[in-house]
Amino acid sequence: MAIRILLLEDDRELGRVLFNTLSTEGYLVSRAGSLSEARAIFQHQDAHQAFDLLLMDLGLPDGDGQTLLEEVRRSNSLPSIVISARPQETSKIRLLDAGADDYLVKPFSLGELLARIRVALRHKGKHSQAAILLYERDGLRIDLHKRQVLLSGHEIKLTPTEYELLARLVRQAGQAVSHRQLLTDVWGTEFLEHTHYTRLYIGQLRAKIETNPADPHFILTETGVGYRMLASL
Amino acid sequence: MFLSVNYVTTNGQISGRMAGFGLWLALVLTFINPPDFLDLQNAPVLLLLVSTMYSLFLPLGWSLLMSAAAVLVLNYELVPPIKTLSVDLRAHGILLIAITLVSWLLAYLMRQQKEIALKERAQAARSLELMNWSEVLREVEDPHTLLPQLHRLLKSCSRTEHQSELQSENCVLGFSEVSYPLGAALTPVQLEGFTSCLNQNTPIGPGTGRYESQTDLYLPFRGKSRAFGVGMLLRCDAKSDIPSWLSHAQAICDQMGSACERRHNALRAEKSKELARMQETRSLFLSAIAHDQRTPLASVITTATAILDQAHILSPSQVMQYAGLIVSESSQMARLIENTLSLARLTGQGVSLAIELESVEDIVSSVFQRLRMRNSPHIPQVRVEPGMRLFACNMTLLEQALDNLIDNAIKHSGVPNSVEVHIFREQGHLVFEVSNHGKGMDETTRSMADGGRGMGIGLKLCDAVAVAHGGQLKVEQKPGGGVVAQLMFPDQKTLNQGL
Repeated sequence: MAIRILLLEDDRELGRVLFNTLSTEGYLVSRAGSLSEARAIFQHQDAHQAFDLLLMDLGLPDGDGQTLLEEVRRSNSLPSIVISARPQETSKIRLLDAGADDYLVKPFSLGELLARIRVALRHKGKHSQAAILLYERDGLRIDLHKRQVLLSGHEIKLTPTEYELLARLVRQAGQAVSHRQLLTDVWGTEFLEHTHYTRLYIGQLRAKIETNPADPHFILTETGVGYRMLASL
Repeated sequence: MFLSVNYVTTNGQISGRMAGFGLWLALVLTFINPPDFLDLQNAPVLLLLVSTMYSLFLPLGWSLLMSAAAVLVLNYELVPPIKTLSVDLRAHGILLIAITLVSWLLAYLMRQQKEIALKERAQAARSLELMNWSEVLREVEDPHTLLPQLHRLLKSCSRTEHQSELQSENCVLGFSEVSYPLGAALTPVQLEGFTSCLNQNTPIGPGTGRYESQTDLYLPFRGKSRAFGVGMLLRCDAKSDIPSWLSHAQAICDQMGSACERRHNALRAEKSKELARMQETRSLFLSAIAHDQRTPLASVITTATAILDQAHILSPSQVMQYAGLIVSESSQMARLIENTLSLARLTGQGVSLAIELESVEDIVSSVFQRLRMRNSPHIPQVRVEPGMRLFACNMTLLEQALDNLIDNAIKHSGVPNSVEVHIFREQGHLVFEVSNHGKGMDETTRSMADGGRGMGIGLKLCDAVAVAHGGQLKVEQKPGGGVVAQLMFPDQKTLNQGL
């Protein structure tokens, strides 16, 4: 069955290009140009034809896309990717914390968008199936079940905190995870103010698993937002 | 709120009069019970001496009367026939008349001298007051804050003399936007007086020659061009000797006016400077848009129209090549817009940067991610000195600055793939160094002129980012060709907590 995507974008030209590209890729795309239109589509959608992904712009003619994002997050677990023309980090962080699975800042390449869509859909699949506990990419093998990290066949010794941090990134590999999410899940909410923890521990992790920590291959930096572990291959 | 002051005779004056009476009484008693040495030869001299002394302390009328009385006592007690008031005109009459006249003359002269001395002292006090006041005004930044002090000065200068004559006074000061005392209520007539005094820049009221019948005195704070405020002395007694202190009060107000004018001019100068600076930034932005943006835009349009117009003759690989060009040119434009916006934010008013502790590796790695994302022809070598501490900065801006430096180095490298990035600590500085080999930049480029496409604004942004973090940008030619660009920041004593 084809994957259904709701595309919420008010810019006609960009909307058309996205619609064409996604359709060419084999997705079934519905278009909406405003928040109210998107809400109407959601209300009238058939239960057996539910959307698999929401791709939305933030600045819409009848309001901020964030409100819709919160509504969607409350009612179901529809994966969502936000396209934004706002480069400020704070809005990106807010979106991730509000429940967006990923974000793209305009201008972006279509290749990047398609890759993000694939990751988001893969994660959606994982929600219904048993959690995938194995990460493999370019010689790095992380087995969450055995709590084992191997680099080119050699075991890497990690401290418990380093391991928790790496495991958190692996569980959402391919997607950006905010500093806030990392601090909450690894250290606990009482450590939310200690934003430098993530920087320091990621530095240590990179020193152990990356060839050149300043030009990392596994754990990428999302400026002002957090980190992204490249998707497992 | 109005202030009222009641005037009373001062303690100093009372004790002075007591001393005067005491001296006179002592003289009279000496005449009534004369000691052995006192005779008709020296008694008049004593009388003249003592009368000179008490006329220093007593009002003129009193002195004259008391001197006459003392001469009568002298006549009664010491002039033969003793114990009578009768006088042998030929023997003593001339002496007594002469003594009386001389003592009156002395009393009058003493009084005159004393008044002159008092006036001089008052004048000196006023000069000193003016000097101090001008000193205070010169040091204060905003003269408006000195209103309470001016209020005190004006009140005190209008009562230095004739204290008993002025029963009360009210003093209100006002600028067009602020008044002192706060919330002072004025009648419509007073408001009108205030406004005309402010507009006409001349004093109004009794003693000024203008609207003499008014009971209130309006003194403008005169600057060179206009009045900056008005000091009002309400319900001044028209009979009092206003002119004696009017010029002094006006001088105090004028000093306030000059100070206000100085402040006004300084503010205007500051504003013009700010405007000039904004104009400069605006020109830079305009040139960025006009020149830097138009070039990539032109090549996007040309390439896209080529695909449209020549679709039938272009091979798929040519179309791919053109599309690639459109992508790289429009990415270049996107970067320029990002740079321009960041620079506009940094040079805007009241910039406050969101600063967080970041790791140097994060900053560098995010730049490299950017390079990869836009398919940079060359990914430089990078070395980060081990043991780097976290660095408090705005990562977005720093990343943008470093990206600009690396991009410039790649574009202007004479030897392909020769760009190196090195991050290290040196002499209390954290240094992000980007260097290349080969042709290098010429002098004009180094001085941040528009040496290449988008470089003007790119380097300007690097400089602004460095300055915003308390650091500096250094761009130098290497001896063997090539350029070294360094973003240098003062090393922070950041603790790596939590490890």
